[in-house]
Amino acid sequence: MGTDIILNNIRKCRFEKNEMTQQELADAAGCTRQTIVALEAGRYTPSLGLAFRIAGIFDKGLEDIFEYREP
Amino acid sequence: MNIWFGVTMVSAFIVSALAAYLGVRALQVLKVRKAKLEEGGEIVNIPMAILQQRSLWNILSITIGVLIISWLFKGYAVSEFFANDKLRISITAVVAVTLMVNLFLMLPTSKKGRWSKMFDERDELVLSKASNFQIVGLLILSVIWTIGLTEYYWEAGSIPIDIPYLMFWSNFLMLFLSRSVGIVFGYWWLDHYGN
Repeated sequence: MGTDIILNNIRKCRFEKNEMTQQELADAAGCTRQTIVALEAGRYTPSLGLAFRIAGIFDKGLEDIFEYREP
Repeated sequence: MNIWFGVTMVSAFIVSALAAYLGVRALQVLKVRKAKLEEGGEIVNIPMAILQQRSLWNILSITIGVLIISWLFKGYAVSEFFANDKLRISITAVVAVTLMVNLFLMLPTSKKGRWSKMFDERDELVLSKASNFQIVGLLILSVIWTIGLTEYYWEAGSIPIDIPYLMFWSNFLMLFLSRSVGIVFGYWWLDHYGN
């Protein structure tokens, strides 16, 4: 059972991007608001595809949004 | 003391001790995992996904269906199923309606049209794991049928011809019920321990 944790600063990025709502981000990234809430709460590790789409929405690189923490 | 009794008791002790150890170890690992998750993100109530909500409704509808079937059977022997047209039609209708309700509630899994925005990779992950619950559910049901029928009809030496028909319906209901239980459990797991 892995205990790898992937942190993210999606919430911070949303506020920096004209206080984008979770629903707006979800619509742009092609996922549900529940998934964005789970991501921000650190309860879900996204697929690479979704991670790239989110990074693309904020015009940032993957590592600017997501951070891998050693177990 | 009989040697086989001794061997059985020692084996039972070893198996129980191993199961208890694995259970405690799993709880410890989950506790650490949860603590790490809480370190990485804040504690929030994640809103229920549409699939999660519908699975709960589904569990309720199947439970009601099973209760109605049990009520219809009250006062009848199982062997009357084919002989009594009214009973057979009523039970078949309840099963059919329950399954139709299930199919309607599970429409979001089709990912078509308006559902496409309500169903994403997180839901797909939960759905893919839920099939494990279907296997376990069917296994448990087959054990219940086997033990129940063997015990009840042991003296008679054969079972009424109506039983396999009812087993078929019960398999269907269990298939849908266990998937919904698996979906609900999957979201609970994701919300508490991540993926």
